Amino acid sequence: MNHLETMTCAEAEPLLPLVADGAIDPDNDPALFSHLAGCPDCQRMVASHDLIALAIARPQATAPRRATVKRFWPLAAAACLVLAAGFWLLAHDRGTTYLQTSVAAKPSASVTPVAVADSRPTTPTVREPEVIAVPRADGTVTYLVRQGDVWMPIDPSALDGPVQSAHGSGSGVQVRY
Amino acid sequence: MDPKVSPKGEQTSPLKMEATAPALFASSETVADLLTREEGGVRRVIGFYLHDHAAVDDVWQEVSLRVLRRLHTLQHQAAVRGWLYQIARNASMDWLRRCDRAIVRTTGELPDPVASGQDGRAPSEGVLSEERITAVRKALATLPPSQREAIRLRIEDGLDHSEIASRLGINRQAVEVRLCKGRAALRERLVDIFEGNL
Repeated sequence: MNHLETMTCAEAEPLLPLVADGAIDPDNDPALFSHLAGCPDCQRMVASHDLIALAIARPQATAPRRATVKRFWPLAAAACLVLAAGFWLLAHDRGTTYLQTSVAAKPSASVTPVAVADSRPTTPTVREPEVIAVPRADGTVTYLVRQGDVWMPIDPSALDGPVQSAHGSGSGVQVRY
Repeated sequence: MDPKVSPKGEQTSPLKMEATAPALFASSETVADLLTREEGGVRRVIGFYLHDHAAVDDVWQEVSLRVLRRLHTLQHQAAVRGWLYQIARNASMDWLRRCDRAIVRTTGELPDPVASGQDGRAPSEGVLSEERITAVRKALATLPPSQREAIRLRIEDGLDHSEIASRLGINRQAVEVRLCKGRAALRERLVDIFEGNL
């Protein structure tokens, strides 16, 4: 067709990386581009140079990790909440069990529970049982054990360990007057 | 230098297929005649970049529009086919970049198979599969450090040759030699992967 198509593939091939790089364009080398327009083999080479550059320029595969975190964070947060609630319930349950089994108090059915105001700070976790001895007019002593916010009368013989005198304490039972 | 056809201002007058570029006046050939005559060759060029028929159709439409908009930049009738080739190549690459960016923007991750292409795959997936990207990165790692650095600065950081020369403390010609050798070596190592099905 014209003088521009006289370039051969052997002449064109060394220049193709520069075409892909953008260093050569149709304005500054029309003969090369005229050859390229009619040569499928050279077109294929330039295309592979271009696609390789596109692959190099592509972002690294860190995006999927971000997307996975974004997609599953509500699930992870819910799991954390469930675990935290589980630990709290376990700790709370342990405190109650300790109170019930260590003291093993059996409240008398004939005595009305007496609510006792307690100004001490309470902790929701493990708490040592408290027993108080209340002297009565007939010379006997009524023992009260604290169960939550309520003091329950108990039979001293029902305690696990031997109850010392009213002025002493033992068997891990704290006696408070 | 920008790999695209150097823009010398966009044509703002109404686009007409009957329009003729200064370089085409001699032959009285209209743009419609030119596109009809060259459609097969242009579609073949696009097909080297995209393996999806629908995507090739889209890019062919884009090429037609660019030809109309940039007709006034065509200087010589003899160079019209090379000029068309460059437009087709740039339009294909732009399409692939847009496709990739759109998928990353919407999903936050690299393209997954979607139903928009043939065989339920994204049109860009075939040419930019994970397998190909991994192979390219491995091949890049085997290049001499001087060539690898020049290629990274050019492609990843988008520096031009003068900026790379300044960064590396070498002259511009040395930069072009490194880029040319590095790109040729990469293609040599990846020819089976990238040209096996082209």
